[in-house]
Amino acid sequence: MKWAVRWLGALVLVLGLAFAQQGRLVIATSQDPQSWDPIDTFLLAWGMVGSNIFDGLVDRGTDLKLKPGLATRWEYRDNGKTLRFTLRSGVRFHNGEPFNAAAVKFTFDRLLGPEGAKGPQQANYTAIKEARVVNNLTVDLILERPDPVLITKLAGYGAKIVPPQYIKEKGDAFFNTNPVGTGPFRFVSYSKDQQLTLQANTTYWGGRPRVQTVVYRFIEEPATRIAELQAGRVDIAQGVPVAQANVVKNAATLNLVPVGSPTVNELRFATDRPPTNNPKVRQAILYAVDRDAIIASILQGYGKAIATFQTDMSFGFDAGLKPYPFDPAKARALLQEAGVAAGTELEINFVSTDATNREVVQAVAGYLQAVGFKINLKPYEVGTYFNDIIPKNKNGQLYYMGWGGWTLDYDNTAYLLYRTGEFWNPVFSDKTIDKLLDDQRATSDQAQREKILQQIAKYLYDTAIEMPLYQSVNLWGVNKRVQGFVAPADDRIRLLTVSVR
Amino acid sequence: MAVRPRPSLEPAPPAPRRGLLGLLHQPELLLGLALTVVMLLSALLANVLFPDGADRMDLTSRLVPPFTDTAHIFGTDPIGRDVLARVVYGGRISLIVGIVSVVLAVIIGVAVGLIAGYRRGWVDTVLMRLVDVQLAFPFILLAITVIAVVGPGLWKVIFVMVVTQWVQYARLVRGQVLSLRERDFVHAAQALGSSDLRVILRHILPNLVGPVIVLATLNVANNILLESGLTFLGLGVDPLIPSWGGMLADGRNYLQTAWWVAMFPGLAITVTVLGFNLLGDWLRDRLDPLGRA
Amino acid sequence: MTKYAISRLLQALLVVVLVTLIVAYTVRLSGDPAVALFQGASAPTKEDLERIRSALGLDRPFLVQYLEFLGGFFTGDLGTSFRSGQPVAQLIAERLPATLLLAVCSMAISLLLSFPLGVYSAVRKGGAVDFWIRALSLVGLSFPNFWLGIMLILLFGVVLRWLPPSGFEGASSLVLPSVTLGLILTSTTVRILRASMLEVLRSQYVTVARSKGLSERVVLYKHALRNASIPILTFVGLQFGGLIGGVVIVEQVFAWPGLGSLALSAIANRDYPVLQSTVAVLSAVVVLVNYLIDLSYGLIDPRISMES
Repeated sequence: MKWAVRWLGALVLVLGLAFAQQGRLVIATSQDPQSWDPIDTFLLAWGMVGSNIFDGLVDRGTDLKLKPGLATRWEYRDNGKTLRFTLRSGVRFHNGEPFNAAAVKFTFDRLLGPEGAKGPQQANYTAIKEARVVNNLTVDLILERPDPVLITKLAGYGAKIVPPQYIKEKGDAFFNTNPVGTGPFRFVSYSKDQQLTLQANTTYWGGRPRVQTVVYRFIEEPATRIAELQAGRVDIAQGVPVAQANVVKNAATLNLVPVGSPTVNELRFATDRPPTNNPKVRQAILYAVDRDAIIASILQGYGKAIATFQTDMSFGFDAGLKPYPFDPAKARALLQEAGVAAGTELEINFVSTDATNREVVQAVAGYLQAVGFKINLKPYEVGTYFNDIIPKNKNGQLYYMGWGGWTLDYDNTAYLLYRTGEFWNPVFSDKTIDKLLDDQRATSDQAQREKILQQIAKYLYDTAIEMPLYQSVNLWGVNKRVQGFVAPADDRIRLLTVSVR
Repeated sequence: MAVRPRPSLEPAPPAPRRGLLGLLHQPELLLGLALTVVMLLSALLANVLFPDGADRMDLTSRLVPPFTDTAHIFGTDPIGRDVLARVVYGGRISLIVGIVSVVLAVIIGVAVGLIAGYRRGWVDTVLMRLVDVQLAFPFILLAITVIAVVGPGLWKVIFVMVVTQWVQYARLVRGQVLSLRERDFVHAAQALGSSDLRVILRHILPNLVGPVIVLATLNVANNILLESGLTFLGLGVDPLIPSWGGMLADGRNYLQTAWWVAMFPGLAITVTVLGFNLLGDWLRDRLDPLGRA
Repeated sequence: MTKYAISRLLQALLVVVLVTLIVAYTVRLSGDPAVALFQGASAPTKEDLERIRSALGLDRPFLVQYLEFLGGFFTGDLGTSFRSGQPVAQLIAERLPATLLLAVCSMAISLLLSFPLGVYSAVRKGGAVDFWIRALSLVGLSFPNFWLGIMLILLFGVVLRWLPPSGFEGASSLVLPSVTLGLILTSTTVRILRASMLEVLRSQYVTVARSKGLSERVVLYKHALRNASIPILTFVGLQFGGLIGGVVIVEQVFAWPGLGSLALSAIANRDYPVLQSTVAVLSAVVVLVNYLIDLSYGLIDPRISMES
């Protein structure tokens, strides 16, 4: 009898374990990136899925720290002109072909060649001249010029390692919708704008995944996404709108998981037209808006005040700079000094599909009305806004800008936003800033770079080139049956250690 | 309204009473009139009722529930603005959107329909194919493309509505004209030497009023809601200018936590729609010279 | 009859061509697919953009691009999506059934509700039931489809958990979106039906039929309803165009994988091949429905001649 009980217990245990591995996890995200080729995309929505299918030479954990991925170690050689990687051995792609130096070379040839030229990722890796195979498990990246954030970029999407045989046989178009990588989950099926299914890669080099099947559902409308979470049909929902945070928080079966992201939000000034071409007016506007109150009320605390257009995760961050305080009296005084009459019109442009932004700009408008401006808010559809209005300088005096900051280095933000003639910088031009930006790119001395980046931030802060609003806090809604889920700052969820009860 | 059930399938005879006394015997008209007048008056007198305007925000009192604070009878919205004031001011924009777009579309549509139906021939063919193009065009996609190109704004939204809706009237009117122009009284007028313009204005146009009014009153409501749909898709007007449609769209994330944000503008639309349509039904009965129901 | 049918078909084709021309032209007035591919997350240089544009064939004149699209459209080659590289024909083939299913079901719900309500309302004109049918139909006109959709999701998907809130998982997923659209359609259809019925009920032949001593039931269903169905059919055709437009928002709310949501994302991404073909197919459906309705007049009422 005792014997039977013991066996029964063991059986239950085994069944339990087997069951744990057979679990099904459903994740709802707001966007379908529509292409699963890592060189075709910049979308965070890609990273939520792609990070589980593909691996890079370098990996970045949920704590944003760099760590070995498919390469076990790397070192700079030849005065920083060569970057040598030692590869992990015994790794196979999901289709069975081996991962080796040839695969790495194929990946970079493809990224830097004509196929990469069709997508947006190539531009990020132009510092690399080519990849050279040293032996089966050693690869050299020959560099065109130094790139201080190259290692970070190698943890990015574009440098995810892809299978050479598979792509050569099936073609790039097929690979787009049938991705194969080395990651913890293998691709099963995909239907556009509906869902994508993954299955555990039981031979993953980093360990065995704890769920058998993962289904990503693409649900754009936030109210619907949250309803699915509440109905228990979705286990993890990305992008809980602040307005619904309490609905999730108060539900007995759900957890609300907030995570500070490197994404920053601001209203940028058009510095080429009155009245925002006057630094005094810009400062007045900064003093006029109670950004802390906006964060506390509209964002319900799910946001952090920022003084410059970066977070404390960013290289070049200066803790000494504090946001302009809320001081409407000072704002009025500055406006008077600048000769700005009451009733002066300001136009603010923004993308109105984001309900939270929509409320934030209305609150900003309310504060600016209080110091005498007449505000016109102009909402735009997202495609028009980022393709037409901003790059072509069709915007008003203030316009909304969000910035992913995924390289966690202020260079990536500052160079692209403030360097004369850059795509996202149609009007602002300042010789001091241009020189500083070029200087920090020319040096590989990190301490020196940090100093210059801080100088840049300080200069932009003093001349009030923009109104930094807040650092985004992303809200994830998670069913309590999900174990081991860590909300990542960069939206790249890792499902290797996630399980469901 | 008589609530007694009618045993026969006989249609009710039209109410013959006229004058003020007659009004009292037509509760539908009375109700329609009352609702319309209330909505129009509150929109007209918005700045008398709420001299401070509707955009006074207070982040410290956001989402105050209704009927708890005498300063905010309908509660406050996510930015701490008074919902009642916004509903009242919102009436201005929504009624402008609803009425102006419909009036313009009616003018264009009726004119085109009259010409096409009366002239027939190639004019008719060309105009009607144009109508088909327009009818085949998914409205929302046209709206998005147009607004993406010309940018957001109240008058642009109205423009899109006029562009997409005049065809409904054109098609309706053309069909009616085709049958009317063969009627005896039109032939008689033509035989007596009346000019085409006179025949159209005196004999044909009055007979079109009924169906056009029914469609128009339906479309006033429709357009107020279309503005809401555009806001839902992120193509609406300046959110500082309150409109019922915009308020409804903005309230969709608060349906579970603050129902009043979307409910009151929705009720305002209901009241307006009821008022306009009850009035429209009555007008149609009155203005239709052929006495059709 | 055949001649009329063919000439109407040719005109219908012309309509579809014109619609796509307008869309292809307007969508090119703003935005840039090359920039859209960057999704605002990086800073493309002018060379990057030139390179992508020429890879997408956007460096050629508009007319060349359009004629190529048109030629492809009539030979069945719709090109590939800028964004996903998938063949557009395949995308549309996957999506069209979902949209048609939704449209037909909502139309069916609307007609099933409207006929009894509209006829009853007309027959009992001026009665209390008539008043309430009309008043409630107006209330149905006062809330936008996305609002009604979300309310239904919350009630039946979250509180009661009778139906899936969104998605495309068989018949149960179809209920909420088609009820949302169907209820909204019903509001107008009831009113039009009532008006048409009233008109017919007053006409001479109904009076004659009555005077011949035919029962009210026969008069109503055999004569009145049949004659009222022509304006109703015309209206249904008109409504179908509006329905296809409204489907865009409802598909968005219910994450319904139809052509509407495909077109929306194509606009946001400035994915011209997908947008052009989707609009062409949607408008072809609308034109086709109206064409069939025109032809059916002759079947319902043989007196209507088919010479245009």
